[in-house]
Amino acid sequence: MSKHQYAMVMDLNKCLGCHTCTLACKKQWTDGDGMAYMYWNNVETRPGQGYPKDFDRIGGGFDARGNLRPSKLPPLEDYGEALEYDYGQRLFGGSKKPVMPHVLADYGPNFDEDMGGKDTKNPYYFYLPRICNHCTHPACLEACPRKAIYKRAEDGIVLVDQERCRGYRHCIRACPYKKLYFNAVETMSQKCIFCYPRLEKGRPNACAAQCPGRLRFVGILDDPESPVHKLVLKHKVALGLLPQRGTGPNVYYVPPFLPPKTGHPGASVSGDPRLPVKVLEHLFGPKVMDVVRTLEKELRRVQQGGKSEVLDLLIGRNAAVRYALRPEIMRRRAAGK
Amino acid sequence: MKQKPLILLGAVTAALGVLIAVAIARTPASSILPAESEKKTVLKLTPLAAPGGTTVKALLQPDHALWSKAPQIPLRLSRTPPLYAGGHNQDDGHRPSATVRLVRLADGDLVVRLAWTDPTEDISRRSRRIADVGAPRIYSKHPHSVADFADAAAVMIPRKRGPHASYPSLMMGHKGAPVDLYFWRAGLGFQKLAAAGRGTTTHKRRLRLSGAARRTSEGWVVVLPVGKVPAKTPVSFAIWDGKRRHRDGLKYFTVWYEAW
Repeated sequence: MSKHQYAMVMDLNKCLGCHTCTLACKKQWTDGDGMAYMYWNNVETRPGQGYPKDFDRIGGGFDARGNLRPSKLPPLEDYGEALEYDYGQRLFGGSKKPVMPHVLADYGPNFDEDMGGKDTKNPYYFYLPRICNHCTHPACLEACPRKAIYKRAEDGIVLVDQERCRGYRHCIRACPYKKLYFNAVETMSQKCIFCYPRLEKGRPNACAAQCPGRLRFVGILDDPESPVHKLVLKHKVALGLLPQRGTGPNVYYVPPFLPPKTGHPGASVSGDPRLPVKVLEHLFGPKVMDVVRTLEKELRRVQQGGKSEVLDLLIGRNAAVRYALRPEIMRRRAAGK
Repeated sequence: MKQKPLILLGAVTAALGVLIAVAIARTPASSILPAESEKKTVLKLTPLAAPGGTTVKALLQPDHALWSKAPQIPLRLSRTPPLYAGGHNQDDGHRPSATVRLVRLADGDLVVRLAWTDPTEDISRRSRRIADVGAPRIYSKHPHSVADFADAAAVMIPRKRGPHASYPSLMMGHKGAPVDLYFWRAGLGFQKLAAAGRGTTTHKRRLRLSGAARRTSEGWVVVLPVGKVPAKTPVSFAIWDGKRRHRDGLKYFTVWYEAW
């Protein structure tokens, strides 16, 4: 457990599903050899199968007694193979055949785009962007027999030591979010590094900086001035993903807040929810409806002319509201001062 | 008043017990354990002495004539005890049939030829970047695999070579008794590793060893030169079956043999 913890809050009500975060991360970190299939940041449609397929159902994390319960190792097909196209033949080789991927594309990140729930009269879906959760009790770290995974004491970021990793993949089986990826060229595991080199320079994570919806908040959880502290600990309007897996995720979500299926404008969201409660509880645990009700109360207050710190924060007008990175404090802590 | 003698007796018995326990604990190990001659069952591996002029390079041919002259010793393989949480950890009872042959060159260099049965060929196929313009083939095979493991084998030798009164721990040596490992992984080649206890294995990425591996109809034959090995040096072996998702400590291994 680290003394201090960088954390991220994502407001799912603002996610457009544009994947700009995914591309920002891909360009910044994962365009090397063996990384083609891996997305340290991905956006998936919920309800949906997820990336890799069914990661939220196959297991990982800890049981009630704190023992690891590893899942199967997802095969490449469950992630979706990175597709190669025969541009060379089509553009330069004189082939009249259309440009086709090298294998049949039958799965990939967000493959079930916008399919959402099966209710045809009142369709519903929302987007779930995901990165490594930099857990308080990382199952990946626990599972590695070589201690190649470590959690930085100064900021809680979880990293894989690329000199120690031997590619055993126990970490992938242990992670309930499947946010470690095996690189078959380097023969080792790789994962989201929470853009620590950017944070050290006072710049927010690439996925957060590029987000057109401005839905990501970054700061130190124990810094009372940071937006993440206010949203997660003070107002309690953001929850971790799959909290029952026991790893203590440090990426938090403001749950989606879709209008009710029926009723006059202003009817309660929780009265006749468009999103089935079980969909939300599956992802965010049993407290999710408490959060929805809190958010609804804050909304009502503003609609009646009042003020709400929560909504002012969630609007996130500028970077000063969304990020409190404190690089100089973190540098001092890293140096042990 | 009546109970006093009983309490006294109890106290005396307890004190005596403690004294005996301390005495046992303080007895030198040699007097409790069997004598040196009885305690160690030495599993001897006798190398063939190569005629002068034989080179390591020549022996890298698995069918070099000298190999058929070297004594063939069957290896007794064990399976790792369940050290890991969750599935694919169980011992399915299978053991490959494995043999070893050793040749010692005139200068003291030892070359090991390990052969074992493995009906499935599991090779780590390194993925590679495919040029999208002017590539020779339209659809290059993309052999990237995230859930497959490769067949592998290793020879473990204590860093301190020569006769040992007691062997280093079989679990990658122990603190104060480091081991060298000559490791081969199908598709990735040979590596020299070092360790001093479980989880301490280190490798130098650029350090590649010479060696030879050949796929046969039954399994694998791997030839590993392991440097200068004086007589009676402990040697042990390990084999990983990729099909059974072996990696790390999930493997077949032998106890310590001695190369005479």
